[in-house]
Order: sequence, then C-alpha cells, then structure tokens
Amino acid sequence: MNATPAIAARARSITKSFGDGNSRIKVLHGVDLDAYESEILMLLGPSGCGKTTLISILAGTLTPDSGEVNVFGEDLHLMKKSAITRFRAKQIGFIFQQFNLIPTITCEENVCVPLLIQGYSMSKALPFARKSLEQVGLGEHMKKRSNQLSGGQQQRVAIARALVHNPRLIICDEPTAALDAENGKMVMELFRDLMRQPGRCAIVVTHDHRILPYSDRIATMNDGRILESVPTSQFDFDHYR
Amino acid sequence: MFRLALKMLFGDTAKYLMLVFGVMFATFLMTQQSSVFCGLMRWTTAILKNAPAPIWVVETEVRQVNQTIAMRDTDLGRVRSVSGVEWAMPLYSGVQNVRLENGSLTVVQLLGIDSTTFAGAPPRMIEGSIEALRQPNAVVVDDLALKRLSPDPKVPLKMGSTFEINDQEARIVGICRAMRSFTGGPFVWTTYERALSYSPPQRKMLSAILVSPSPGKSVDEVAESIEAETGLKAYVNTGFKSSPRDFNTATIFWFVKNTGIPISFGTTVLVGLIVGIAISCQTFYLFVLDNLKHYGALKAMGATNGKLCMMLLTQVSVVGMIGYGIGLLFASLFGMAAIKNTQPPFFMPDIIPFGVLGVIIFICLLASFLGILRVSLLDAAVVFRG
Repeated sequence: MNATPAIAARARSITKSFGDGNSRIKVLHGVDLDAYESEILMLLGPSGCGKTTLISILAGTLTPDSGEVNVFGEDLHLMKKSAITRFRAKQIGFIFQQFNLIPTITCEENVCVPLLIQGYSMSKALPFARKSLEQVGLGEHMKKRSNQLSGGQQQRVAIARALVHNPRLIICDEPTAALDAENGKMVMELFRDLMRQPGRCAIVVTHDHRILPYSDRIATMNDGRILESVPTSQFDFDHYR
Repeated sequence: MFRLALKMLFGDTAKYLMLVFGVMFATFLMTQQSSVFCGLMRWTTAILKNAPAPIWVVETEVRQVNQTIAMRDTDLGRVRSVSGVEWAMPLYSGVQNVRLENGSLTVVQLLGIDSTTFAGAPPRMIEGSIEALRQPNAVVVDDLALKRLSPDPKVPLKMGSTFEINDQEARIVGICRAMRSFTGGPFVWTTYERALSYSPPQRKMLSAILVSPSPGKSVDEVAESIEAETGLKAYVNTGFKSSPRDFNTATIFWFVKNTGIPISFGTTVLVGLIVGIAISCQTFYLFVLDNLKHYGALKAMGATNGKLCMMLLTQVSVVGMIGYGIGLLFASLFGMAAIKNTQPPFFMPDIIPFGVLGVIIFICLLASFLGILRVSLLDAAVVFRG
C-alpha cells in the first residue's frame, strides 16, 4: 500500500483582486490547491488565468484578499510580513523566466545571493555556491559573468542559485520560456534530477507543453479557478495540445 | 551584501563614473570657490597682518582697514595720554604711484612707520634689516614688489635697486614676505616722515595710531578707554571673530555687506550644489531603476527592505566619499598652485572641507532617498510579471 505523501503547500479558498472601484478585477476565485513533498507540480493555463498570482501567493510575495495558505506547516496568511520574508529566505528557492541574474557579478557570486541574504559572508557562501554550480555542470564557468553565458547556461546558474541554500519549496516561473527546445529539455532534465530529494517540492508555472512530461502532477487553471489537478500519468495531453 | 552592492555599483561603469563626477564637480566647485572667497576676504585685511599691532586707533568714521580718513597729529599725543597705553606710534597708509625705469606707472600700498620703534614693521624679513630704513631714501619691499616694480619681470629688482614713488627716489634696503593686498599692489615700508614726503601733501596725514596695551591690561579694555577718552575709534587686531572690536572682522563684514563679492561667489557655490544634486540624484535614481528587477528578485528571495536600504546607502556613500576625495584633491591642487603663484587668493579654513563634506552627505542622502523610496515600495511579486 502506498503512503500518501505529505502536503508541502496548501492553498484554500484563495481570492485575489487587483485595481479599485469599477476597474477592480478579480483574478483568483476561491482557489484550492495542494502540492506534495517530493513532487514537481506544473501549473498550466492560458495567459491571464491567474497562475502567476497564485504562485506569488504561495511564495509569500503577495497577500491574498481571503483564504488560507500553508507551506510546510507554516500558515503564511497568519504571519507578519517580516516573518514571511525570513521564511522565504530560508525555505523557498526561485527560478524566474528571465533568470534575473545580476550581470555585473560572476556566476558564483550570483549563486551566493540567497546565502548572503541569510547573513553568510561571501567567503563562507562561495564553497556552497561552487558546489551548487558543479551540480548543474557549470564548474568551469564559475568566474564568468552571467552575460557571458548562453540562455541555457544562465538558467542553469539560476537553478544553482535556487537550490544553493537547500530550500524545501522551489517556485519556477516559466523556466523554459526564454530557451530554445534543446536547452529547455536539458534544463528540465537537470531540474528533475536535482529535485529528486525527499521532502522537496517544486511548483512550476508554464505554457510550454513540451516540459509537461517532467512533472509528477499537473494542475490546470482558467479564469482564476483550478480546473483539475491530476497525476501526469492521468493527464489528457491530447486535449491540451 | 555590502560586497554585492559595491559590485553592482562598480559593474555599471558609466553610471558609476557619472556619479563620481557629479559629486567631484560639486565638491571641487564649492571648495574652490569658498576658498577663493575666504582668500579674497583675507586679502582685505592684509594691512593688519603686514603692519601688526594689538590696537589700531583710527578716525571715528573708519569702518574697515583699507579706508583711510586722516587724523590730526595731535591725536597721537591724546592717545598716548590714555591710561593703560604702553606705547602709541603713528602709521601712514596710502596707495601711491610708482614710476618704473621704463616710464610705466604702477601702484603700491605705502606704509610709513615710526623710525624709532619700527612699530608696524613687516613680521618676516627675507633680506636686509628693518633698521636700514634709517638710511636716506630707504624702503623695505615685499617679494611681490621685486617683480612688479621691475621694468623687466624676468629680471626682478634686488637689494640696492631704486625706483620712484611720486617722482622721488626710493632705494631697496630690505625685502620681506607679506600678505598680498586686496588691491593687488605690492607693499612698501618706509619711515613715517619719509612716507609723508612721498605722498601728496594734505592738511592731515595720520592714517592710524598703532597702540600696545600696558602689561596686565587687555587689548579690549585699553581700546575701550581710548574710545572713551579721545572719541576716536579703537579696534583690536586679535583675529577674525576673536572680539566684537576686531578690525579683521569689521573689515571682512564691511566687504561682505557693501560689495557684490559674496553674492558672486555664493552664486557659484550654489551652482555647484545644484549641479551636484541634479547629477547625483538623477544618475543614482536611474541606476536604481536599471537595477530594479534585481532588487525585486533580491526582495523575492528574502532580502528585507532594511538590507536593500543598506545596500543603496553603501553604494551612495562609496560614490560620495570617492567623489568628495577627488574633488577635494583637485581643489587642494588648485590651492597649491594659487599659493605658489600668489594669485588668485586662496585660503581654506577647516570649516570649508568639513562644511562641503556635510553638503555632500546631504546630496548623497537625497540621492539615496529617492532610490530607497522606490525600492521600499517595490512589490516583490513584480519579478513574476515578466
């Protein structure tokens, strides 16, 4: 008998609106979502359906209008902003669509950033950064600036940065959107390998159907609602193609 | 995070250099113009420095040392009779024409001092001695006069050289170092009697009376007694702002109030401040805007507003200190060149570099304030919006 995996992130009845008065738009309509430990959950849906808003709320960078958010046992909706910021620094890793690497510093220094935010000195952070870069196969590019690397290499640096402080939740926003097919495949293979650690969970927002097979579960969204959340093996690829 | 902040700053070379230039320009302009202003104001008191005496007694209407309203010769005796006066000596001070060997005319500041005591003699002799003034037609000149009074500036005058003051011969028997006068002309010392003969005759010729207080008496106390007993004006010569009766202070304030000099220099200093603020604030704000997505990413990754503010303050402080240092260096080099060349006037009291540092800190805080405000209000979720 298979044991039910523990829940990593849970959203209940989440609503969120933007704007004021007549221009107020409701983006999320009572969203419920569960993400489990040791899985890669991909969030799929058309532009403007609320995917980014939902992961922003799960990451604690945005406050919902109503509803409950629990990440690894911590009720984010009850926490103060400063506590959420501290929680995010320790427990969450980020991979952005446009990499968001600082171009004026080296790759290893970029990877150090999450540790520096936690209060590490550069000299103490660098060994961890180098190890993380070696894990993503960029050991020989540590001293290069990020703008000297290809798009695929830059996203691998971003993955190393997201994992260097060993966070339990990884939030990925369109990780392959800025990459060609080959680089996108390479990055996702690497990402999946690195995610195979007990207790870790990744929530990936994507439009890219080619990367769906790298997930464990797929949740689809439309008009601010979750339509379904199913294991990848049960997902109807033909319907969404 | 500080190292990260500095790398972000130095990495954007164009903006970094622009920021340093802005601060450097403001520092240089404010320091240099303030120092030239102070130097010029100091030159207005040159006679007080070059003919030093503890107390200067002048005609009641005299407001500054370059203004000469002659007194009666009998006033000297009246001052000498005041209790607490150790000695009182006459001084002639006036601007006179000098004809050079080649026939051209120039002006000098002529000082006639008492030939017995030499009260009012230059404080630093380079060659010769002040006693040589007792010789016929003898004058002591400052080193500027050697060039200014020579028909060929490449061949300066020397000991024994002669020139004419109002068509009467003067022979150099001593050379001294003196502060430049406000009018730019060199200083010439001679005896009081000879100074009167060099000058066009007038009914009253006594420009000032130099006084020393008796031992145990303060200069202010004696000056007050002189004013009370003679009705003349008695100033003390103890240094700027040292006393309400100080002649240096009165002279400088007279020039500040009655000439456009402070407005002229003040305007330039203000331009330095405005340009510094404009360049620094605009460039630093652009730097922050350019890096906004990185600050947003740092915020998303858990950097607090406090940490980001410290990063911005680090960046702006480093730029401020480097710009201030270079600006001050250039102002000092300008000052060294000015002092070596004896013009333009340059005097940098401690208050100028410290004051300018305060202004630069203000500019830096203003520049960082806009950036801090922008970053503090930045929504961390912005990084997910493409």
